[in-house]
Amino acid sequence: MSKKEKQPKEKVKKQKTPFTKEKFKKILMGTKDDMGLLKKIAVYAILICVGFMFLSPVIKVFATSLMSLADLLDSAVNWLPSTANWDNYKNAMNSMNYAKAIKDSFIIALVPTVINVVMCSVIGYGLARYSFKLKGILFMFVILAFVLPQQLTLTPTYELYSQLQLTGSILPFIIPNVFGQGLNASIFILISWSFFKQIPNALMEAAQIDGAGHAKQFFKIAIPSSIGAMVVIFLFSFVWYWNEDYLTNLYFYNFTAGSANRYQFQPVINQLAKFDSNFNSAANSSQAEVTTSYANTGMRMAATMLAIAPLLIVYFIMQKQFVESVDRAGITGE
Amino acid sequence: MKSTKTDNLEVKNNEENVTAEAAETKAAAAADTSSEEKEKKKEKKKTFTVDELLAQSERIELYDEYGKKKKIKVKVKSGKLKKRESRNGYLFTAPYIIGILVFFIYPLIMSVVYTFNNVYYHNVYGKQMEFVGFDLYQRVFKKETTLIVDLGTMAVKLVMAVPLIVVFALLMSMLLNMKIRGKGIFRTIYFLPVIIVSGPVMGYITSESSSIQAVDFSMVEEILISVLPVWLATGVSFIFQNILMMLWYSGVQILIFLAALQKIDTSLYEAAKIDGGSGWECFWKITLPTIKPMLLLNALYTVVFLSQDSLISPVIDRISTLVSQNIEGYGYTATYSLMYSFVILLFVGIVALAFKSKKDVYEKQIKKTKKLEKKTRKHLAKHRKQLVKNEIKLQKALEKEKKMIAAGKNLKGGNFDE
Repeated sequence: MSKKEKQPKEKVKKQKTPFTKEKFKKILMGTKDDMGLLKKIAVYAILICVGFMFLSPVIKVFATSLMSLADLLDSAVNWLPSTANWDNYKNAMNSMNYAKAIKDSFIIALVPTVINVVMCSVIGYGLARYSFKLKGILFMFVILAFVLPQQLTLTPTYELYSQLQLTGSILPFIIPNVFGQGLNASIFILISWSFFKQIPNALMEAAQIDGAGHAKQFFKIAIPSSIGAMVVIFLFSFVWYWNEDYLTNLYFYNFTAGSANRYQFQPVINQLAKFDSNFNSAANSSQAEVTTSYANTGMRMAATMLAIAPLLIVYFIMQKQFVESVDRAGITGE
Repeated sequence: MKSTKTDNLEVKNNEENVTAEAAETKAAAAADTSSEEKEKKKEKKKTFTVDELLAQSERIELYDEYGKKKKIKVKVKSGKLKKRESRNGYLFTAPYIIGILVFFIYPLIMSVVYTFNNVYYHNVYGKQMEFVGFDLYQRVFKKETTLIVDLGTMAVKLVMAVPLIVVFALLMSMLLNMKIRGKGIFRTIYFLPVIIVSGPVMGYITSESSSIQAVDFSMVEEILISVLPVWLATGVSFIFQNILMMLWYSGVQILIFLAALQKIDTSLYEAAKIDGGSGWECFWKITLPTIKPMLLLNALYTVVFLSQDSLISPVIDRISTLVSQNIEGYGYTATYSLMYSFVILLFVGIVALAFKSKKDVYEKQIKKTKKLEKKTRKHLAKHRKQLVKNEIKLQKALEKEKKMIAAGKNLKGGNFDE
């Protein structure tokens, strides 16, 4: 019905207003309500260009990772390798000890992340739902912990762990998270706080009247309505722990006496950072690979791709929920 | 509401200020102080319920006779419900309180303490601390010859990178917030750097993708290097060389801005359009003021994030080796990292000051008028005091006159009679 009505109207309009200079201008420059053609083209052009700029390093790295040594030395080959050379990946996997590294990385990223999601939502809920005297001070500390550089508290914290002989184990990544002091935990607390704040208080009161206790309110109302926050926290926390090379390097690669015979975690990211030396030592120890005695750029890039591949997969799986939940409440509380 | 009704409200008056009744009596008879004090005491002890207070509210005047605003303290005893609420609040945040104490405040204090002490471990006695004053600071300056240059370079990098990243993120988020097709794809691409940005990965990617420079800055760099001192030039040329990579760091910032932009009420823009505002004006007068807090947040985040990146500041690698290998002792390490933290804090402070919300004109005017009001009220009070004093004088004089008249009448009467 509506379509049939509309079509004749448009026709009438077109007949009435002939194609003039003004109309042409309107189409190009746009009106106040609508973007003009020129503006649209400009916007898309910028978006696509910058999008390419954001993608290009990844593409370039991927392309380089497939290049053989001959391709790398050939200055004519810039973006596309002449043949896909998967040997680079093979070599990189071997020297990175990839299977173990991936397993370690997953443990290091996943366990603290799960704890982070649980604890930060509990703390954020406490801050959002209840009012008590210390609330203001706690908020101040949340922001202070965000602003202050971690190096400030690094020395005594490390000393504490090394005295307790916890270096080399995963505990330095678990204990602070249980108390809401993990990596960038302030941001996560703020995210969950801003989500929980959006739950109308009336809903909670209604539940209370119906006899729900505080724990039940939290589990049955607050948690289901803030899955979005959890997704954001999970993704960010996972990514940040996966990419954390500083603390892992500190706690896993430098043993103090007494914890030497522990299982050594070797996350992918640290294996990547030590790729050259690892590769060279491996190549020199096994005389079979005499031909490639040092790591070339192709292998390095293959290693880089291997290090970020799981993240990319996780991101593209969760991308939709992630973008949506970012849309819905933002990742910051005012 | 339920709980507040049953709560007892205690109305306490300040010693200087008296209740309405007392004020009336005071105005009427200022000299009579003893009875007034009694009344005061009575008022203090009396407690009111809400209904009583509401009923009384008409009688309570807001200003006493000197023109001062009355301070009425209403103390509300917290009810059971509220107590339970706050108890639950503490219960939920208890882990965080413990965490703050153990993993934040304690290390913070200890690291400051360490900077003044030589810390070493004795085989028998355990940890030993020896107070040395500012010795460690001197040692750091003597030993770390590159520290000052490194910090200067880092500062230059930050000064250039932070505005670049924040402005770029703002632009991109505004473009992404427009009505465009393929929003989802664009966003997925634009959030990609959030996933990948990390020290080693960035290092490799930078080394590889420096060949895909869009603009050749080598001429500019050469000129800059020839003109500027070394520590400045290295920072500047670093930014020029890695301008693409710097933009890569803006993933989280775009996220934050986008979230803020979507929260802006669209009716504001509609109203502005009706009033004839152009898009340019809308940006400066609606968008920017609304997302100003996010600007501050983003700038702070960028400073904090970049300062943790070993590409930007080589200092943190040194801290890592110092901490883990413990060559120089914990005191030395703590001093070194404290000095680094101070530089970052300086930057954080500068950023915070730069984005400090200036009070707008309207608020300023309100403050001005309030000041004026206070001033005039003071004057008024002074005058009123004088008035009361004069009145008392007058009354005394009148009384005297009355007496005189009474006496004089007698006299006069006597006179007249006689």
